[in-house]
Amino acid sequence: MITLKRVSKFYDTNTQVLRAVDFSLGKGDFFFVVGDSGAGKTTLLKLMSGEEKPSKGSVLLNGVADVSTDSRVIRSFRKRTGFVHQDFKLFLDRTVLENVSLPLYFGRAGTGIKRISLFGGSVKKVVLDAMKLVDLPEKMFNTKVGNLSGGERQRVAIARAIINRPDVLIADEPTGSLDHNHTWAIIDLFQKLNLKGMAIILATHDRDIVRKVRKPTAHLEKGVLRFDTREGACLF
Amino acid sequence: MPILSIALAGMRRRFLSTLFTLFSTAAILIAGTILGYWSYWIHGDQANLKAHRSVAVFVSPKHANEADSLLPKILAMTGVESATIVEAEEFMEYLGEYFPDLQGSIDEVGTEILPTMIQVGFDKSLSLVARENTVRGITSVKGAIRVDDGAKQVSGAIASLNWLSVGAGIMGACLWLVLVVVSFTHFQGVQFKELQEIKLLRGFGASESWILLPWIVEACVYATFASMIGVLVLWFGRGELAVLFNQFFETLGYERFVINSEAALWAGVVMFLAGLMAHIIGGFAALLRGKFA
Repeated sequence: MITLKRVSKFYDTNTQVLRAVDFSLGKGDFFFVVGDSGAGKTTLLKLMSGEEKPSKGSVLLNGVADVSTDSRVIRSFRKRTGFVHQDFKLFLDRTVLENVSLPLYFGRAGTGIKRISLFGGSVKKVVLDAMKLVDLPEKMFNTKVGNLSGGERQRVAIARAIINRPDVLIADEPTGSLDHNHTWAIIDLFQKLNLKGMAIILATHDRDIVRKVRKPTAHLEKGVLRFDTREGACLF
Repeated sequence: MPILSIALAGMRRRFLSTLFTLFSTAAILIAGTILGYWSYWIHGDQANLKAHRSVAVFVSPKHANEADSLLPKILAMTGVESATIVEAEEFMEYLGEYFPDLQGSIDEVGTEILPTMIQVGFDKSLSLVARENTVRGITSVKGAIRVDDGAKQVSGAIASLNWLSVGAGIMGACLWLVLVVVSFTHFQGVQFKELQEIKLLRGFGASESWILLPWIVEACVYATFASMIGVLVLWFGRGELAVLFNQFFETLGYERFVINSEAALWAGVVMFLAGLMAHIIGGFAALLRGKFA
């Protein structure tokens, strides 16, 4: 599905974030990405989503299309990808409905979810379903995101990432602001989605999650990716 | 309609910048439209110049009693709309209004010295060439000793006024360019402020047109409201504008400058289109420069 071939990323000549990373995420895979702060986890995820372009090497979709060059392919891929950002990237001055429904404007084929037309259409039911999955109460539907707590915002971001039933979910510290119960509720949700065929790559600092969920883990250290496919292997 | 609410939400978020852009658009459009309309009044529509639409024909004293018989001959000529004998009382009234000293002098010697005069009016649609031919024809009518063509007498002044009209037109066009620059600056600011949003929308697979569409709607909103403000200002200020214009041009022989409902409607349409084009061009230029398009 997504293949990184000898991918390196420099932000300037002295800052090399990733060094010749090889990685492949297939349909239905579930990977953890672990590593210290600044190890390059977020950069790796952004490269996988096409948000960043590699300085060297290539990011291939379905083994063929290069993310760096084919904008039409990357646009189509993005419609099939959900991304939970570490800093949520929500619009604080807009309601939960407006935030969660955003991906629906771009739609994606094969999900049965109707794309919202720019000239009208109701999305309430689809948004409420996504909110229910992340345990956000219905009454928050029209609440401005700026009035929510950190944990609630994080769940809004997750609802937004999964509303289009993506093939791939890329999650950067998706449980960083959640309490214990909500953390596990979200991890359970991810596992259920994974069982339905959604490929998931999840960057986290939480050793507990990696140990208990028992999924293959990629460890980033100084830009080098070490890989352990033993489920639950925690290299830190 | 989500597209409209997305555009309006963006404008609400940038409230001060939106207000500035809206009012500066309205001000520039009003100034440009006034200049353009004046330019058209002076030069574009020659029918507004009274001197172009009439001549005075003086009848020879020998044929003074046959002046009535000249009227059908003159009326039969191309483009002649009216031909009337100017009565001595009527002429004296005119002199009394504009040249009271002359009226006093004539009064002393008696109105018998006044020649018989026929006022000839031309059709508004008469071209300048056809008009000249008709004037030549009137000159050759038996009994007409002299044709006093006001347009010829003021031709030098009219030529200068035409340049004034061209200048006003150019200034109107320059103001429109200023509006393009205002719009360019505004949309550059929008890009800077909404960079994160643009990036996020791209992350969801938004196409270029999807990102542009709310801005085009925004341009439509500016054009609509600015032209509405413009029409209101023109309508309520039409009296003052007419006075300002007429105190100079009416004395030169122009028709009274008026802004009627038809002119206001046309001004509204022109302002809307000019505003829309300026914002779309300014917006696209900003996008190209910002390399987001």
